[in-house]
Amino acid sequence: MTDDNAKPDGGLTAEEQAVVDEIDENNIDFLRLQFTDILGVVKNVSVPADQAEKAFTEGIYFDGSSINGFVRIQESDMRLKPDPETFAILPWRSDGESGAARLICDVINTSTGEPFEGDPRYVLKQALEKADEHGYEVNMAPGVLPVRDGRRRLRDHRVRGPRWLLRPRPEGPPERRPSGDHLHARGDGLRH
Amino acid sequence: MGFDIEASHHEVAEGQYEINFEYDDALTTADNVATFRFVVRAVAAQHDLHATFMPKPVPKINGSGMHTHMSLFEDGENAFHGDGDFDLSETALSYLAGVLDHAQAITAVTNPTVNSYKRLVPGYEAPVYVAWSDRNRSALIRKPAARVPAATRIEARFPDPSCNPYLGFASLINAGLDGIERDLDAPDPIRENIYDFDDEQIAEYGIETLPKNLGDAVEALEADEVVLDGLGEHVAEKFIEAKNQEFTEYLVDVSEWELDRYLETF
Repeated sequence: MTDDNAKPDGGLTAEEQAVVDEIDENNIDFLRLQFTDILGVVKNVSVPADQAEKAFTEGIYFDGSSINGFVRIQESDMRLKPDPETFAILPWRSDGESGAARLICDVINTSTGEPFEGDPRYVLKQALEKADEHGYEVNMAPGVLPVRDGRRRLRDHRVRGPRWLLRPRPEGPPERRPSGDHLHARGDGLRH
Repeated sequence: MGFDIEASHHEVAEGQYEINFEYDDALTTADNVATFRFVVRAVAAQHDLHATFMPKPVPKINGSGMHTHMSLFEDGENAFHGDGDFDLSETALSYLAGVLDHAQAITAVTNPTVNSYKRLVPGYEAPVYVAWSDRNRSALIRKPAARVPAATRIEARFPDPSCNPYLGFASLINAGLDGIERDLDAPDPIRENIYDFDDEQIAEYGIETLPKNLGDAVEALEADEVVLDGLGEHVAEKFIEAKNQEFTEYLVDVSEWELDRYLETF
């Protein structure tokens, strides 16, 4: 595997070192290395926090063929490169004694050592670079509107009428609904 | 947790909350939107609630959008602020014109689910018309009031939270920059409520509508080189393939609405 851009051990930038220090100070024990697939589903690779240095210097390897819209199986080696600027402690999982933090990652194509062109974050970076060529910096803010509601009520909307005589509604707990983030969040110990 | 929530309030629909982010650079904001979605779900789940970012979870009440405010800064100054009408600069108007020009294709990216198009219908504060306004919420782009020059910005009202924020923001930016590169003129703002227009008025003003469904939106994307180039070959190909498949699945499905309507009638 050629991967020239991977830094040798110990080559932490000042910013990366600051993250490693913060991990120690806040007793962070898990890092969620985050990226998105093409459809915008958040993917997390959880690693013990003592892997932070290695994550910065060598990156964390994963199988890109398992990610929606990434690559075919024969070219599946990908590397996550955490962006130290994105370090954030996840408050609902952290109490000072132990805790979790997120780092958002760029995806690197291990066969070229270059950014993977299928990484949505890279697509945005390209657009920002274009803006930069024009001399512009782009600022944005969304007003996001999630609907929050009791589970029962949302399910009530699905059981009206006689149709389930023919076509049973999907059984099972709400977390089995096709909601990738949520499934994943439960799958890696996000909930205590 | 590293990002500031500017405000949160109940919205028009029952159980609906709006959360506004503080202004930041586009990459940081996209990162935060991605994290935000899983944080909200995780916290809601701890309280035995399910938070959804589905654009239109309940018919006939307002859906959920992801209104996106944007501006360009040049040498620390707001390049969108100017002396023209509505305090907008030429740069802002060309950017806005670029977004309108590519709106049909951008919609495939910013409104990428079958359900997205159940939200983009008249009457529920969601935009349907390819137009801009300084006051009316039926237009695709609104120019919000700003108290200081630094806050002059435009608001794209069509994106929804089912989109990939990185790809959605990139598509808006690429379209806007194309408007600047081509020095496009923005059309006049529409100050009336377009929902109230009849077909004749819509034709008279030359107002186009957004794609009516995911299939039409993907078709518009396939025909738009600027937005496609912005996505890059790999993402464009995989995205279109996935969305065509999703739309086909929807088309061949027999919906609950159809069973309700036809099963006992025929």
